[in-house]
Parts: sequence; C-alpha cells; structure tokens
Amino acid sequence: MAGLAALALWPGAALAHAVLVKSVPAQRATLAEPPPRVELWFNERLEPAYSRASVTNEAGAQVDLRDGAVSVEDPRRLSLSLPALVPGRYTVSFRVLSVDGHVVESKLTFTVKERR
Amino acid sequence: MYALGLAARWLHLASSVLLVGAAAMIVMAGRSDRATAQRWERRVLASAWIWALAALASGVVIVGTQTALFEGRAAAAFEPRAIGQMLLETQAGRVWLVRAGILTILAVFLSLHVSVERRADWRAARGEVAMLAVAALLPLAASGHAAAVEPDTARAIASDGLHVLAAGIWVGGLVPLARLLRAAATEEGADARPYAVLAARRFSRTALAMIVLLAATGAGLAIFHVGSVAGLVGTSYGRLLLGKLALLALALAIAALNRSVLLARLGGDGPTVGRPAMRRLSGFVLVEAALALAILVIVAAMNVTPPARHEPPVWPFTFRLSFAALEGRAEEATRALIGSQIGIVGLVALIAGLAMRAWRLPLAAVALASLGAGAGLALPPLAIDAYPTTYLRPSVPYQAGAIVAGAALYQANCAGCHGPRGAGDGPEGRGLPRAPADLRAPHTAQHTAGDLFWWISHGIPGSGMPGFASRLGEEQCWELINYLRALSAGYAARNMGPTVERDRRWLVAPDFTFAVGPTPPRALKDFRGRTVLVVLYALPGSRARMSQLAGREGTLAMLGVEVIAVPIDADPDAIRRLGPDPRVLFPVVTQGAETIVAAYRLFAVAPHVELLVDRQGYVRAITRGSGDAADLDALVARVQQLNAEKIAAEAAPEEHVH
Repeated sequence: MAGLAALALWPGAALAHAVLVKSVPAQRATLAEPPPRVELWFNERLEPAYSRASVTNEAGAQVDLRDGAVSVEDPRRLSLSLPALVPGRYTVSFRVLSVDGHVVESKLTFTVKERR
Repeated sequence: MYALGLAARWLHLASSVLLVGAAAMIVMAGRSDRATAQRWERRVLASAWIWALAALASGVVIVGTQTALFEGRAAAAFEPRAIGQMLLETQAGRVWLVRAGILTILAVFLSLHVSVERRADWRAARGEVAMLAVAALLPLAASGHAAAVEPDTARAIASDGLHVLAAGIWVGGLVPLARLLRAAATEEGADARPYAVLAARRFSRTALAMIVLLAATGAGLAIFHVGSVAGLVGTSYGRLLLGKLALLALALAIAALNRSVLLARLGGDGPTVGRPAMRRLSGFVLVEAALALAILVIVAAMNVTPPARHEPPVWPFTFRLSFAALEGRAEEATRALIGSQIGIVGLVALIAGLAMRAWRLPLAAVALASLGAGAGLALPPLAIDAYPTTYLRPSVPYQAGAIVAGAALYQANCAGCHGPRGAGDGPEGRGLPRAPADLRAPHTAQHTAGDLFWWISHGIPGSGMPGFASRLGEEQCWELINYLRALSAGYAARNMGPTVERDRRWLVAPDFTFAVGPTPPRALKDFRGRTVLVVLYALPGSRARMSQLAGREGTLAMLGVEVIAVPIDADPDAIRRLGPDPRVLFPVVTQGAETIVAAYRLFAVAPHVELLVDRQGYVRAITRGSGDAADLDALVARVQQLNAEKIAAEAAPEEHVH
C-alpha cells in the first residue's frame, strides 16, 4: 500500500535507476565465509533520516542486526552488521533518499556457500 | 496527488520567479514623480505581496507531498512528526525553512508600506524587496537535482542558482512591464510615457543579458543532468527538456520581434506611432510571459523526474549516426567528407548572411541549399541500425563472475550455431539463411552492448537468429553479453605480449572479488590507481617464479605494484603450499580463484600467466610462460614505463559501452 501511494505521488521517482556504485559483498557474489557486514556505496550523498537497508534470507526473514545506517564520515556509504550467516542465498534490499529528493529502491543478492 | 504536487511546484516556481521579476523591474524602471508611474509601482508591489504569500502557501503543500514521498506513505503528509523530521533532517527541508523565513520577512515588509518620500528611502526600500526576493529564490538550487551532482556539486548548484535568477529577472519582469506599457498607452497615462519607454529599453537590455546567461547555464546543467543524445531523446527528462526548448524558441522569437520592431517605434510620435506600438508591445509581452509561465510547467515536471543520466534511455529511431560506420569503407568515407565540406560552406554562408544585411536573402538561400545537400550526402553513410535498447547500459557489471555465468549460458543456448568457441562454426548453423556471426571478430566498435541485448532478446529477422527473451531473463542476457565481450577481447588479446605499448589502452581487465583466508573480500577495482600484477600460477611448475616474486616483493611495492596471485587449481590450501621461505606478503587468492581463472583464461592460456594491469584498470602486458624464474628487471622496466604515463581523464573502463 505504502509503495503504491509513493508511486501514485511521483511516478518515476520511485523508479529512478540504481545509483549504487559498489557493494561489499558485490552483487551476486558467492562467498565461502559469511560476511560480517554489508556496505553499500552510492554515487550521491544520502539523507540519513530516510535511507534504510535490510538483509533477508530465502524465506524472507530479516537476518541483519537492524543497525543499518548512513555513515557519519561518508554520507555516500550505508552499512549494516550481520550475525554469522548459515549457507544460503541472501537479499540486500535498500531504499535510499538522495539529497536531490529522489527515492531509490533496489536490491542485490549474495550467496554464502557450504563449507568444504 | 501527483497532479497536486506538480501544480504546487508550478505555482511555487511561478510565484517565486514573478516576485523576483517584479522587484527587479521596479529597480530597473527607477523612481518617478508621475502619478501613473507611482500608481503602477504600488500595484506591482501589491501583486508582489500576493506572490510572496502564494510562494509560501504552495511551499507548504510541497513540504507535505515531499514528506509523503520520503516516508513512502501518503498519510505522512499530515503527520506533524513526519513533517518535522522532513524539515529538520533533510537538505530539502532545511533549504525550505530558510526560504520560508525569507519569504515571511518579505511579505511582512511589503505589507508595511514604508514611506518612500525621500529618494534614499525609495532606494533602500525597493532594494531591500529585490534582495529579499533574490535571497528567497536562490537557495532553490540547493534542494534540486543540482545538489546531487557529483563531483562538481558546487558548480552545478551555482549554475542552477544563476539559471533561476536569470529566469526570474526575464520572465518575472514581463508581467509588470506589460502593465506599465498598457497604462502608459492610455489617454490619461500620457504623463508616464517617457518613463515607460525608458523602462522598456532598460528591461530589454537586461533581459537580453539574462537570456544569454540562461542559455549558458542551461547548457551546463544539460550536460550535468542529461549528458548524451540518447538521454535527451530517450528519457522522460530529456523529452521534457526538448519540449521546454521548443516553447523557449517560440518565446524567444516573440522577444526578438518585440525588441527589433516594436521597441524601436516606442519613441515615435505620440498618437500615431508611439501609442499603438506601446499597446501592441504590451500585448506581445503578455504572450511572451504566458509562454514563459508554460515553460515553468515543464520545469516543475523536470524537478520531479529523475535526471536522464540515471535512467535507461529508449532510443526512438531505427538508426544512429556514428563515425565507426566508415571503418573500412573508403568510398563512403569520401562521400561523408565531401558532404561535410559542403555543409561547412553552408555554415559560412549563414554567418556571412547574418553579418551582411544587403546580401541576406541570397546568402540564406545558398546556406540552406548547401546545408541540405551536405547533410544529404554526409549523413547516410554514417547511419548504423539502432534499436530501442541500443544505448541501454548493462545492468550486470563486467566482472569475472558474470563472464563465467555467461559462458555457461553460451554453451547451453548459443554454441549450437555460433560454435563452441564463438567462431560461427556450430553444426546447427549450417544451412541457415545467413551464416552465424563469428563472435570473436572485432566488430564491437559498431555495436553497442545494447544492440547485442536487442538481438539476443528479439532475434534478427530473416537470418535464422531466434529471440531468447522467453528463455533468458534480463540479467542472463547481460551475463551472456559480458561473456561475448570477454570472448571478443580475448581473441584480440592473443596478440598481446609482454611489451607495454605506450598509451594503448583497450583491453579492460574484468573486475573480480577475492578473499584471502578470513579477511573481508576485496575487488580488483579497489586497486584502481595502483599497478596490479595478476599472476595465474600452478605448483610445482611456477615455484621458481613465485619465489622470485615473493623475494622481490619490497621492490615491487616501492614501485606501486600490487601482486595478486591466483592458483590455477583453486586450492584453498594454496598459501601453505607456497611455503614459508621466502615469505609471501602479497595476497594469494583462496576464495574465488576458480572464477578468476575461468574468466582470465579467455585472455591467455599457459601454465603460468602474468597480466599487468595499469592504474586505470586496463591490461597492458601479458606474459605467458612455464613458471621458471625470469628477468625481474624486465617487469620493473614495464612498470616504470606505465608509471611514466600520464593518466588520461577518460571514463573508467567498466563504463565503456562495447
């Protein structure tokens, strides 16, 4: 509903193209060790009050430590911490507001491999 | 709700601009003792007060709609907590608070009707109104798209500020000017006629300067926000800009007519020439103002549309023009050259026609004919087929992982016709209407990644190439294209040897992520700015060379070289197997090695391969060997050669579209 309302408000704004320039883990990375945190870098400064990210597992349950926030020293970086993840595919979803008033929503995935 | 937001933005822009224009027009016209002029001045100030209130009211509506957008819920527009957060914790909110403060002071000041009996008082009072109006308008630039431009934020905001200021003085001044001219054109307004003529002349001069400023800052902002022809014709933002330019051309045509014909007649004799001209000018100025206010509707829409740079463009034509089309076609190149020369003759005639009034008509005819003939001759050879996706940027970056995924898709879907190695020699390709393309050929300059995306998705009619849109998702298409790019680059790379060719950068090193033991993963891209030696090695054959590199690690580090060692067998135990003597200080990839090896094998196959990647991310030298110890000074010399090169300010390799 909220998404629909936002769409109805400013069509286009919510569809703005991804401006994520880099992430750790990288989009679609396959990792042998579970990552301790997720870091996202954007090409524009973010508004900390309205920039959020979360990590969900295949079942759709949120697994991050709910501390996702824009970095104080670099307003283009959004990071969040993770507990020790079990092997599987994870989705990082983010919704960020850049300083020109555009909302960008997108996601990326990474996979934690079974230990050999 | 969208319509409400848009209407509020338009009203806000229009009233802010009219406010600046009214204040500036009064300052330009100056103080007058004539009753008609003073009446006009009072009316303009009264309307300025209304515009200040309108700007405040529409601003409040914008804050509400912005809050709803930021929160992602429409109801948030009415929640004090959400509005407070928007106002205090976002740049757009803080900018608005500052502007709302200035607008309020201005509205109060205008309602005071301070006495302006003395000349100095008049100057102070009107100057203050003008300064407050400008101060309320300028910060707009810090909450729009310009605020997000990187890295030239300050320059973009300054351009945007000058752009709105120039628009304010030109557009906003038109309405009060039309009023003054109409009042002075009447029987009873005769006392203010010299004043009106003077005001119109001053305005005309200023407006001309403002239009030049608008064009200059507008061009700069278009580069910031649009940046390409595809962005201009293929995105909503670009098309809005085109619409804006079309309306602007119309408004400028009227402005030119006003300036060149009617303005000159204003000074003419009262009832016969001057007065009718004044009345007509007043009407035309109003039309110009109406067009300008219509332009602001488009500007309001552009404000809420993501800039073209951030949007995937949809190319609307079936062709595009590119000099790459002339490669290897001498006859067409000659034709294009002759055509361009004829076109230049046309341009010279055009300029000469503008300069020499007496010859204007014949010269214009010559210019038109040669420009047309030149274009007709030069442009067709430059045309290349294009598709809606031609300028689409790959959504999957050029990374080893994507190349490897693309390779698997290639073997499953394409190898049958195009052959297992892309040579176009697959068994199923025989007997097709057109022989399957040799995908290793260096034809990439003529085809964008977006072209390939179109062909893979929709096929090529009449050739036997089917469309795969139903079988491959968008992401898989891009993976396949990344593989094709690496395949074609790798085929060309077979000629690259250990020597560095000065300033020849063409082989982009695909990015990869790797990890060493439990350390956080790193990417090749993170080393941009340093020279990287990617070493694909296998034990025991490479033992001698690895010991040599490990032993001289200090020398290499001093030269700014990072070594990344990748075991070809992807042994997770690789570090231990290299042994403690000499100690290996550079990263030995223990996670992700198989992907890196699979992708980089497209560039070189040998028991031991070293790829030298320069500071901009291009592979510049490839050494294929058996892993024996080799001359390390030769490597040092190559690195020194790379370090001596100047880094050109060209786009980072992953942004190249080929």
